[in-house]
Amino acid sequence: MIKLLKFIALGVLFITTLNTAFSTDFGLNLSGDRKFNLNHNVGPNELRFNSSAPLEDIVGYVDKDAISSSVTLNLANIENATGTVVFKVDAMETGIKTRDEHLHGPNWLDASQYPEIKFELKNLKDVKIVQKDPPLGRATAEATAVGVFTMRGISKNITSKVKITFVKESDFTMKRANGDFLFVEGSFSIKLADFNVQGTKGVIGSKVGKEIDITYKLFYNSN
Amino acid sequence: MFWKYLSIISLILIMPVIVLWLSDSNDYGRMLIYSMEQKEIKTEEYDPIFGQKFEKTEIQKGFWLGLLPPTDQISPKIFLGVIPLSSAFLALSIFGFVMLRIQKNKKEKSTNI
Repeated sequence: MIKLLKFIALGVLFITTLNTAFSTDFGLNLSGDRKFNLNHNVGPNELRFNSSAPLEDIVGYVDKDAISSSVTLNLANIENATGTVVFKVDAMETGIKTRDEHLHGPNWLDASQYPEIKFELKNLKDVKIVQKDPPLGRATAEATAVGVFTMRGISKNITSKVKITFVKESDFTMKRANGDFLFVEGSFSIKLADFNVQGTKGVIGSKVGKEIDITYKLFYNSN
Repeated sequence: MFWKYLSIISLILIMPVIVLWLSDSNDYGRMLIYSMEQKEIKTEEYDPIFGQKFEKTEIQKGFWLGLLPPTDQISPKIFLGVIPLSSAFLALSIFGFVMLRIQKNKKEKSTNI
């Protein structure tokens, strides 16, 4: 019995040591889970998509009011971050009304059948603190976000390089919104073929790139 | 005389269309293949809370002439591009020239009689 207890204690110690060894904190003496929600008052939220093709470069964006997102972050273990970003397909714009209608149509993103595009953050890896300013309660980390991207009902695992800036609540931040602030920026690419986007015949590869680059700048505050 | 003027004016009008395209492309920031109906205006601001500069994007509605129209559907917008507009002016010019020839031929015939 004593042997078993010793074994369990050792096991718990081993797991705790491992967890500590592979977890990163912001270095601001903060701990615990924080839930962050997207807030337009914190900063200019932006979600863009770019297509580069021989005949044309398309720069598009998603209306910020059509984006909803939340992130749960453990301040003593950044790797364990989880969250979601959801945006409406019919809020995607490219600067030409007719092209937008095509984009939302059945040949492309099919907004009527698949009204939303979603990214689900599973965790962060390769976390590295790149900037730390404890007096201001501010720190920035670079990491790789690991998650699932769902478009047209098809889900694919993706990774995205991200830069996360955490700002602790202060009198200064409270002028904009309550709670701690979080700024997340990053980018990733998706292949249209992976999500069964057929497009108008002959357009993908000539006027629309086979790969679409997605960039995001999202601002959150904690509850 | 009318057909002669129509031909010349139609040909001349192609030039301003091209100049407008170049000017709109310059204003938009890139050579426009398709006519655009909105433009992004980016401004950069330093944010003291996050300690970094952020780009703010605002959308300006308007019209910027491209080589091709902003639509592929049958509507008056189909002419809103350098290629369809220039083609229309060229066609009008050729039509004017043909009408001029017909008129001349008629005149010659009537004089011969």
